Amino acid sequence: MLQIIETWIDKMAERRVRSAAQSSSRRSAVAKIGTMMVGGAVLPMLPFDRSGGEAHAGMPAIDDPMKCEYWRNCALDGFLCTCCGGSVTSCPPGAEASKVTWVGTCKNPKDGKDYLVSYNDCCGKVACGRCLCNFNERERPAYRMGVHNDINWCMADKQTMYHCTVSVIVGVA
Amino acid sequence: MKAILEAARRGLPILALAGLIQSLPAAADLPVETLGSEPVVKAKTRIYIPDIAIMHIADGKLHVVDGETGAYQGVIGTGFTGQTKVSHDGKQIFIATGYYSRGQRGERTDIVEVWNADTLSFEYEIPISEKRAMALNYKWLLTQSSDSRWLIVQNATPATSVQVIDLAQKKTVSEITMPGCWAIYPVPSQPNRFGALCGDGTMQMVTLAEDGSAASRTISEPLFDPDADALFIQGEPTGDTYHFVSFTGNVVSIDLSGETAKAAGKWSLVSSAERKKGWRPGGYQPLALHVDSGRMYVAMHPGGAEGSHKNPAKEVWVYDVATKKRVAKVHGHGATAIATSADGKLLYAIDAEKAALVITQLGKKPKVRGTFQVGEFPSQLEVR
Repeated sequence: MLQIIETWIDKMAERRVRSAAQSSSRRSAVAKIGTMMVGGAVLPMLPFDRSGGEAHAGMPAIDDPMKCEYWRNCALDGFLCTCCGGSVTSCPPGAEASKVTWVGTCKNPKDGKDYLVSYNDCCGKVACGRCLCNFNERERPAYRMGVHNDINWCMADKQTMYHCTVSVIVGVA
Repeated sequence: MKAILEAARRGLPILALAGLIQSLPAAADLPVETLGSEPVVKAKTRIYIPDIAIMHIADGKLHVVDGETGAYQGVIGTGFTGQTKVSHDGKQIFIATGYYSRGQRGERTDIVEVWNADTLSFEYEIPISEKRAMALNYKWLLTQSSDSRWLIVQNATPATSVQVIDLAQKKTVSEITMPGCWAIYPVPSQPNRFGALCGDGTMQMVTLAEDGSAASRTISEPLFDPDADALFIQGEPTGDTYHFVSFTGNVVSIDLSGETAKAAGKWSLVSSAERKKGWRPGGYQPLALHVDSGRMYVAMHPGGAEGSHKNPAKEVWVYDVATKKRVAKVHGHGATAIATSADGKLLYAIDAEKAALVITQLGKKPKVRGTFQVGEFPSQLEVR
């Protein structure tokens, strides 16, 4: 009986996943997997646009700091601090900016310039769990550590728990 | 009973079912039961699936699934960004990880835990340095030497190094700096030697002394271009030669049998037409190699470009390594990690969207055996 009900819930969840799956953005080839619903719980799935429902009404995603597709997030892998009580340049209350970081390069569609973006992690608190994103432009494996995002950049802090990630402009490329 | 299930399916309140239950025919009581624990994992073929559990990253997991049936067998907690490796004899599971005394904060302890792979019970732990890399699960960030003596842990502070554990002594015996290099590729014929890929396109080789320190090291000629055509760090060996795939769809083979690594061939996975369509490898474990049959499997996606190297697979392309020709294509199942069974008859894929293991029976007409939901954020597969 339990198994039958579980199967039934799974089928329900599957339908919701299908209806929730969206295809949008300038990175339409990759940004097709949204938030996945399973039995009412929101689970993070790979990849890429998993910001799920945080969009500001009427604002294109590329201009919306609470969307994975915000232009500065072109190589951000993690939770957006903008959805966690912080901003693109500040950690949420109680979290500490990482001492070390890596720098990506993203094109600002407004002025056509490439900017250096510092993807500091915010540290010392539990995973925020909101607006999980995964973009990887110019990202490389960790033999190029300075452009790698599959690692916890809180690694050099006293308290290394990963909370969320900011996207601070540090210069023009 | 059918009526009850139908009612449940329609979401009728349980009270409304009471009358139906009362009308069921009388039956003998069920026997009284005794509570116990499953003594061992029953599956002969086991798929070990690490899960970083990003939503609650202090609390990762290693899932164990039956490789024949997809049935869930059990789980081990892997702490905060734990890397996992099954011992060569399949009897133990190593987990390089760390914990805080208050879960999310407090005093930090980094360790290698050793678990029994049959009973999924804890055996012992070895203290390690806090330099341990807090990385997403990738193959070759935790490596056992071919003679089973050394266990080598990837470090990042972010300066890169490795720490060497002597499993006989159950202690960390050395730290070896590996500046600009990453991953630990054991050399099957040389248990004291390992390689690492470096950011300048070379392979660094280290030979260990008997005390676990670096006796010597060499740096190869450039073997790949990390800017134009980076290599995925997952390499798969045939003997002492490791095969890597590159971001734009080439195979680069590197011979680690000597003191210095050397190029051992390069060929393209894609035709020029396929290259134009952007067919590229992608994922976290995009390569599977079945040595006996000489078949190589690569997780491929179309429309690839800069930044698409972690995209899930649309198709898995199958190659004959000897002739360097593609011999088949199978469904990709949105895979970001793939592996084959030991007999080469099954293909395992981690479906990134569903967070599921897909088991496909290979052959002239590949057939999906099943899709089995596993955890939250699986990104790696180890088949034993």
